[in-house]
Amino acid sequence: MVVFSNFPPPTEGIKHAQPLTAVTINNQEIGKGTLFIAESRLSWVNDISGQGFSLEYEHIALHAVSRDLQAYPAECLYILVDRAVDRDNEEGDGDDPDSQTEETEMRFTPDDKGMLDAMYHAMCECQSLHPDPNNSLSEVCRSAIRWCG
Amino acid sequence: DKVKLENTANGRINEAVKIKSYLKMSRKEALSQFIQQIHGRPVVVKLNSGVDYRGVLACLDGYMNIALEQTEEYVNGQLKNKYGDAFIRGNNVLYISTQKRRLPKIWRTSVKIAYQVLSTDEVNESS
Repeated sequence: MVVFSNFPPPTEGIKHAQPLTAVTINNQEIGKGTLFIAESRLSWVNDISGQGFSLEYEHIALHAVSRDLQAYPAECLYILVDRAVDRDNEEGDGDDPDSQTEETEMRFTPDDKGMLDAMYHAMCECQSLHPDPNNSLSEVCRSAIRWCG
Repeated sequence: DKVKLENTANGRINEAVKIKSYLKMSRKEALSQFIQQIHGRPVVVKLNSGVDYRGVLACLDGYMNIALEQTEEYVNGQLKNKYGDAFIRGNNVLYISTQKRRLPKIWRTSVKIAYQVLSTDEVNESS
C-alpha cells in the first residue's frame, strides 16, 4: 500500500539509500528526496517537506532500469505497483482516468545515474525477502532452483 | 515421432503430463530441467494484467520471480517501453513462453504449459 504522511525514514536493514532522487507517480512530479531501499519496505522522503511514502515489496509487481530516453526523457528506476495510489491527505481526482486503473507507475530519477544498477540490484535482493506465500513451490523445488546468470 | 498438439484445455494438460512422465523425473528435476532449457533464451512473460514483457531470461527462482535483460514491454501487441534489467514478481506472472520462431512450435508451447503446470501444486509429486 502507498501512504502519504510525515514519514521517518527506515533505520534498519537499508540495502541502498540514494539521495537527490526525484520521483514521479503516474507521470506526476512529486519532488526530490532520498530513496531508501530497505529490507522491510521501499521508502522515499521529500528533502524539503519531510513527507514521504512507503511501498511494500509484495505490491511491487515489477521494477526495471529505464534507459530508453525516447520512452522517458531521463534514466530512471521504473516501478509498477499493483494498486492504485491512496493519497491520505488529498481527495482523488474524480475526473482523472488514471484513478480507474488498478496499477500505479512510479519513476525514481537519481541525479547520479551511475547508481541505477545498484538500486535495481538492491531492490531485487529485497524482493527476494518477501515471497508471496500463496505462490510458492515446495521447499524441495525451491532449493533446486537458484538459476541466475 | 511427432506428437499432434491438441489446442484444447485437456489437450494442453495432457501434453504437460506426458512431458513430465516422459522425462520420468521428479518435479524438482523437471523444474530444474525446465529452467536450464530456457535460461539465457529470449522469452515472453505474460502478466495477469495482459501486458507482455519480452527479454532474455536472466534469473528464475523458486517463487517464480523472473529477471530479464534487454526487456521490452508490449501492450496489445504494441511496443510501449524498453528497459534494461527488469525484475517481475512471480505472483503477477501468468506464463513464460519462448520467443524464437526457429524452435519447433511444440517445444515453445510445451515450455509455456510446463511453466503453468509447474506453478501449481496439482501435478503429482513422484518423489
